[in-house]
Amino acid sequence: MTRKTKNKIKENIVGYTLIFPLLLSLTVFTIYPLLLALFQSFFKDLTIKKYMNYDWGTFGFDNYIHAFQDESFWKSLRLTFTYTAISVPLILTLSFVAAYFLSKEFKGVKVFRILYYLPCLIPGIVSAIIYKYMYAGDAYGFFNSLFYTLGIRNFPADAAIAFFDSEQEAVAMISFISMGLFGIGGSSPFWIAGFKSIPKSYYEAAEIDGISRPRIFFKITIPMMSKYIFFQVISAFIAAFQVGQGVLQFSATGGKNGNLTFLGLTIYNSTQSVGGYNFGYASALSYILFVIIAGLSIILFRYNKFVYYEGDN
Amino acid sequence: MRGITNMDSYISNPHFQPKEMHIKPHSVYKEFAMKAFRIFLYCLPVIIFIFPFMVLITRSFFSYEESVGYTEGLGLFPKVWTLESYKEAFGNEEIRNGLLTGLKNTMIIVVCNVIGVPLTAFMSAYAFTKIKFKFRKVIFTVALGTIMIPGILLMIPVYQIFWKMGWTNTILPLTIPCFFGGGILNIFMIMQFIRSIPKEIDEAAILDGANLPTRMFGLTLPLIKPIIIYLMVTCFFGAWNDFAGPLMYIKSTAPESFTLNLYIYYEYLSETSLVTMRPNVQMVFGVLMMIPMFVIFVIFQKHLVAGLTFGAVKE
Repeated sequence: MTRKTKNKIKENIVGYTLIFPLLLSLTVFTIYPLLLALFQSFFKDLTIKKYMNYDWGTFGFDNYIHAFQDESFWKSLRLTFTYTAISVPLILTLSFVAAYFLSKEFKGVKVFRILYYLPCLIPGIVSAIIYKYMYAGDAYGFFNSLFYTLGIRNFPADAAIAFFDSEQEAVAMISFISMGLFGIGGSSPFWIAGFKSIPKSYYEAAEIDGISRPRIFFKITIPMMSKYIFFQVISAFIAAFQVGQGVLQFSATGGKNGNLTFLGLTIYNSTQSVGGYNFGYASALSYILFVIIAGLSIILFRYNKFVYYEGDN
Repeated sequence: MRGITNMDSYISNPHFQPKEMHIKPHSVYKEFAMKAFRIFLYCLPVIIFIFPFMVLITRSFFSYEESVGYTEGLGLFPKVWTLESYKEAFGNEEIRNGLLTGLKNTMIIVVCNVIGVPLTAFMSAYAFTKIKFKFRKVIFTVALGTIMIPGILLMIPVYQIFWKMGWTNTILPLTIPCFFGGGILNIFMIMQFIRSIPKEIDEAAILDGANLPTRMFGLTLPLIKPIIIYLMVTCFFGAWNDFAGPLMYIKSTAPESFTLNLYIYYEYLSETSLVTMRPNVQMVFGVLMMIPMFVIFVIFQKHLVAGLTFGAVKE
């Protein structure tokens, strides 16, 4: 055995030893469940009890056919798309701009950074209660009483706005998206790190050349941040598409007339008593969701070629 | 005019103005307006962001009657500031025990997360960047592709696996997986950092006769400390706050495995809890859970920002 192959074998052994935990968890917790869920999705009315007892029923595309014929499925798909299309660009832009201001070193900026991040520090279970109180549909919820106090609406002539449980889809959706606005400070450490990584020499050169401030922002800051932006866009899209179970904390039924029933929630409901503990159907829906996310991600990855990488990558 | 491209700053500088002339060009007013606008812009969102936090703190000082009853006006501040909710939360022996059990379990999970995830992620990232083993690229691409898989898809089969292994109703599903790979996105981030370290440093170490563990932990790890700290802090937040995970694996029949979150939920927030709907006490628990996160955030705020600078090593 030549020394070269000996070294190569050694490299292989070392490499695989190091990533062995990752490989194990990938196989056991990702690949295997993926295949298992795919398998389960082809069986109609498959509950967990039936699965454990090997009473699986017939093999067929029933679940998928039923999904495409079900009106509530299409509604939830539409809601999910609308939500993602609106909230992701909106919240990303706002958090980007906010973090840009926070990245400048002015007096008291440290306090501002903490303040912006504050809503994200509130633990999840309690924050749901707080938001529920703020967006409560009766006259004593915080926003409603604020409107009354400020005189925007009159009590009792104008009814209180039911935010999440509104009959109107638009109101419910807007309320839900507006809740995301509280979290725009959440990614601020990430953005600020990015802003600080842009070498000051670029800005100095631009200033000497007399380039206007907006132009500097668009031609220097944003391209240098493209790495960070790309990462955030992908993560945000994938996360927004999977919104589902969290909605239940704010509206017990997923909104009136299913106004807030996103695809993730439909899937979750299928696994609960509402949907008859139907894991097969839930798996089928999840796979449809997976295909959609994968397709959009591949399209988004094409934009990777616009990202400016410094150094060899 | 090569030298001076901005006449305004030239004119407005009193040093260059003739003694009789102190002209303030338009840009000075514009700058002042910009500054005022900027201050306004900063403060406005702060008021919005502070709302949830204020609600949390002030409501914990409400008396029970006030928190459930309907109040006139905004209902933001209590008419009577009282500590009764705090007394109720901490005065009760049973609650104290429950909180301590919850704290113990949560700390175990947190420690496993904070140590296991960065460690295994770093090891995997090092392998992907520095060690040329076969199928390296394929494995990495497949692993990266898994972020597209909806969590819900994997949830049920994973639960079935844990159920078959008998790990349900314990905290094992929340601790052991931390030591197995540590999140592909984290690995990706660490890889970016490792790549920014010049190859020469490594080659010098090899020449000096350092073996792999020494190079990995003695050389590379300290150089990428910022991202490791960022990862540790993020894992702390994630583990401390994690609710869906414990909720899925630990049912209410196994109170010895409750995490802090879960204990508060089962005792106070779910429909089956005995003492429900005491909003002021709920807020007390919220404040309690928030304090460690707040402290860690303030301490590590500087590191959090510094940690994410791609190519931090260049400076």
